[in-house]
Amino acid sequence: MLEEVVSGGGSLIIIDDINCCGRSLLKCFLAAAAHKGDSIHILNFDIPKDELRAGMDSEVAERLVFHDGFMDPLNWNGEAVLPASPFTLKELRVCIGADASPVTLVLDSLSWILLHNPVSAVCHTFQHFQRQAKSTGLNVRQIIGLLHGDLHKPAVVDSVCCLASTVVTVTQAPSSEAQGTAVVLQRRKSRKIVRATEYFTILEHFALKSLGQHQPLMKLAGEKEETPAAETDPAANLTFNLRLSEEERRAKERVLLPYHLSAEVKSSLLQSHAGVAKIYYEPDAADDVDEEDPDDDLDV
Amino acid sequence: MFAAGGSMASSSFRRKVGGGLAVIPGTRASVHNGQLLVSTGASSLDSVIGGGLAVGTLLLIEEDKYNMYSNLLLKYFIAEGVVSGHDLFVASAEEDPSSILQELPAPLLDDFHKNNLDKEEKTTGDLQKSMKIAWRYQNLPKLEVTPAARSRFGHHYDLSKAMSSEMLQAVRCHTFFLPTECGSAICCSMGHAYTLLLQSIHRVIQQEGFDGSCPQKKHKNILRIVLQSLGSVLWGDDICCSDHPQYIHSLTRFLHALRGLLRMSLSACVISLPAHLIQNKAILSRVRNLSDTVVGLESFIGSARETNALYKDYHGLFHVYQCPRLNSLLCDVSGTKDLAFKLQRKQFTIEIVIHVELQGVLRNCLHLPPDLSDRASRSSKQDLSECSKVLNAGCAAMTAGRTHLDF
Repeated sequence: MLEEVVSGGGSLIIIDDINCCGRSLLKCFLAAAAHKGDSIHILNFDIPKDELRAGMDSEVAERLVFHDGFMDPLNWNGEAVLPASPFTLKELRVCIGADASPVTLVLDSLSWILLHNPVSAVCHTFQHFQRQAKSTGLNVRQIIGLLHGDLHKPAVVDSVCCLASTVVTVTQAPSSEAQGTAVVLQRRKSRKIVRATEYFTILEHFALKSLGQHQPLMKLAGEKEETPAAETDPAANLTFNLRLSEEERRAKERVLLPYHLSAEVKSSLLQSHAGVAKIYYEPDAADDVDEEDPDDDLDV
Repeated sequence: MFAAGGSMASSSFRRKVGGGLAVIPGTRASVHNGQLLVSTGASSLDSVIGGGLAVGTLLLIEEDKYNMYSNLLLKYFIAEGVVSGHDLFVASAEEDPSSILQELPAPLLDDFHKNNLDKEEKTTGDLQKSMKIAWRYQNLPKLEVTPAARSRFGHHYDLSKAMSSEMLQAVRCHTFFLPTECGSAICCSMGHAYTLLLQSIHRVIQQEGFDGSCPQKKHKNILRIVLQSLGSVLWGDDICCSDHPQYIHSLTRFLHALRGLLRMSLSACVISLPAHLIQNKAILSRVRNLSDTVVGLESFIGSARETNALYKDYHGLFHVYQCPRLNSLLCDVSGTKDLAFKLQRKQFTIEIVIHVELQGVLRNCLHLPPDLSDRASRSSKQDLSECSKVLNAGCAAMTAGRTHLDF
């Protein structure tokens, strides 16, 4: 499931918290996108770009385009690369510029943006940027946002997650063999919701390895599965006979019931005899077909 | 009068011309209060809310958590408008209304129905030949029972197919897509989106004559208004992300004005609202008060009910929160509140939940069928309390269960 998400498009939000950092998973996603041939545009606010680039192999690193919002976020030194409110449709479009190859836009992190801009404005841009970019000739294949879930009110997190086609929530793994647990929620185009819980680990050069799906979510809650009561056959111990043997069935079918008529008798009864009158009726335009109100054609 | 009708002077009776109310296609009068109704497109929803949606009223659908099923109901409503030849007004802040129109379910129209009937006949043909008891009927001619598509109230749809583009071209559809209406400017100043939307609806109602200002000459028609995910963050509202929103009245003010518009015009409106996201419950109850009919969808995805054996046939619960009181003090409340919905491959249906297991429990603890002796009737109260203890496990079917104790 997680590997399927890595290769997908649309909009993706990774939610992490203080206990489990989602940035390494984010790096997996962008490494996978880079291997696919996308150019990766990163708006980095949380950490400097060298830190983000660290550990990537050279093939991936040369595909990364940084739009630095970390060094001088509020333009105090006059060296800011990004404008003061970088997350509007127009500014974002200008920021990315022209790019021939498909673009993966990475927001590191969406939390910083949400804390510095009105929520509705951020949601608006997040929802409509792909469509708007397409109309100006830019193919934005994927938007990936990292959201620190514990920095915002749950309501804000919910509102933002409503917009994403895929939401991956990262939590700590119960055992040391896996690096984390990912709860994946995907909205398919076929109006289907897919949910899965998976353990994952991250290999060298940010290759993702899924350690298989967790057992169904509901069992996590500690609910005991009810064993269905053994089906009992109510007709098992009867003092009378309910079934027919083959002989009995044949005997039963042979009985002619009083209302059964032979085919000849039936056809003779159904045929209209000569001398029987028939009524032919053709409806007329002035016919009153409404039975409920027979006088409705009178204007009294 | 007498002079003008010289030829008719022989009789004082005169044939009435026109025949009462001008009939609008796709509508019918309610059997309860005579209100003009339009179908919501889903026949099971129609029956739950009292036969259909009254013209001039507002239906509020509270969305399910992942917004799967509420959009489906909106599409049913739009599709019914297309088939009945009504005018449409579709507004959304999330996706382009034209893309919503592309994904409407295909109607199962008469010719299709006939084909189906023919097939049925073929299969039942052999049966009829061997008809044993009612054989006198086999020579009688078949009656045509399906009336014309347009005049019929409510249709059936196939969700697995999309509506053909020829049908869509015939319909007059006004769309409102928030990002294009606002232009490229930041449209997120509070309440501005609602003002724009209201102006747009008002313009359509006035220009197309739905309010009677320039009466529709040829034939009267209904305007169906569909507003998707009203109140969500994309409409620039903050009721979904804050307990104490900055502009607490912007949505309610909009609904108040909208209801005024609806009441004065030949239109029916369906709104979906992300109620599960609204933080301040006071706002939610105000919004419910301002709507006429309120229904809610509660899907089982991600809740413990998903695996509950009681609900294994269903995809969620269907709540009717409010029924309209139209021209009367009473509202038409359906008998049961235990409703659930399911989505099959081709259709969406709302059904009454039948608690088979629960009835079994009741039977066991009451030893049904009861012996009608004095002792039994005296101890029935005790039994009832016992029974409710058993049921305290969290089943919502107490009311359904109690009716079985009434003998």
